[in-house]
Amino acid sequence: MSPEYFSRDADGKVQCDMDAAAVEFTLALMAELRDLLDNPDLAGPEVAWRLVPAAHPDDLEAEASYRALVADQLDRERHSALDTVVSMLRENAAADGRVLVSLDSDDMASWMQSLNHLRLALGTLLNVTEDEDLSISEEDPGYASAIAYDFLAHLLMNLVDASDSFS
Amino acid sequence: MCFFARCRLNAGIMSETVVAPDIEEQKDDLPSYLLAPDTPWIVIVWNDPVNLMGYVTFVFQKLFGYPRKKAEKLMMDVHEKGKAVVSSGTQEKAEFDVYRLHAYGLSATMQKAGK
Repeated sequence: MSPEYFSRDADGKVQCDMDAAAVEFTLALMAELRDLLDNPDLAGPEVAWRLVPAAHPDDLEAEASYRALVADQLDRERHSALDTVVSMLRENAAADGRVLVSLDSDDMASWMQSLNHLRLALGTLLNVTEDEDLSISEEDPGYASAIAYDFLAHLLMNLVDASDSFS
Repeated sequence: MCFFARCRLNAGIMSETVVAPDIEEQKDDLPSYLLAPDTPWIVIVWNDPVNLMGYVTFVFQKLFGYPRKKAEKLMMDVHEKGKAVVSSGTQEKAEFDVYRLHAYGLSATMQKAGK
């Protein structure tokens, strides 16, 4: 059974409780996300398009205006969310590497956006389809990406379940 | 070499071309009131194979304050029908809603109502 990294405590607060290995893996993934945010074309045009999808796919002029309006803001928000996640993990690590910390609703949004952002990039690269299990053999070059993709899904759904009805 | 560059080089998985949602140009056929500046706009969320159903439901609740049942119904429409209208209003409101949906990683577009 996969560990639960997010739960709700007796006071109704959402808690993050990660062992050292999970913290280390998450920080490594967040470093990959930072690479991607700093170099949006790093993973290719499909990923870049997926991370900033079209608002006006049938109107080039309106689309250009939309992108001019929001691209920088989206980028700033994503960096800020990533900084929040990394800071929480680094600043709350105990001597044994475990992190136990409460999340408020802004923290949760930062976590969800960062986890999902990286998951979208990996899912696009892995060519994930709707009705297909992502089963990749250890010999496959995409194996590490698939492990990361599943781990991110687990973290994200842990957090969604823990934050259910949170306001 | 970073994760993404490795992934591209090793796996060769950049095969499928991403196609933007197909919304036909129908301006010539539209009644004139739909082309008026104050025509309400609608925001559409499109299905995609990566976003998790529970996550999409959560985002609809969080961004629009929808009760869980309504959020789940919209999510199922997205999943089963390929898209769902999730909000409407002025152009500015629609643009803001699309922006917030994009910030959460959902595929969202906007268009004039009735198009």
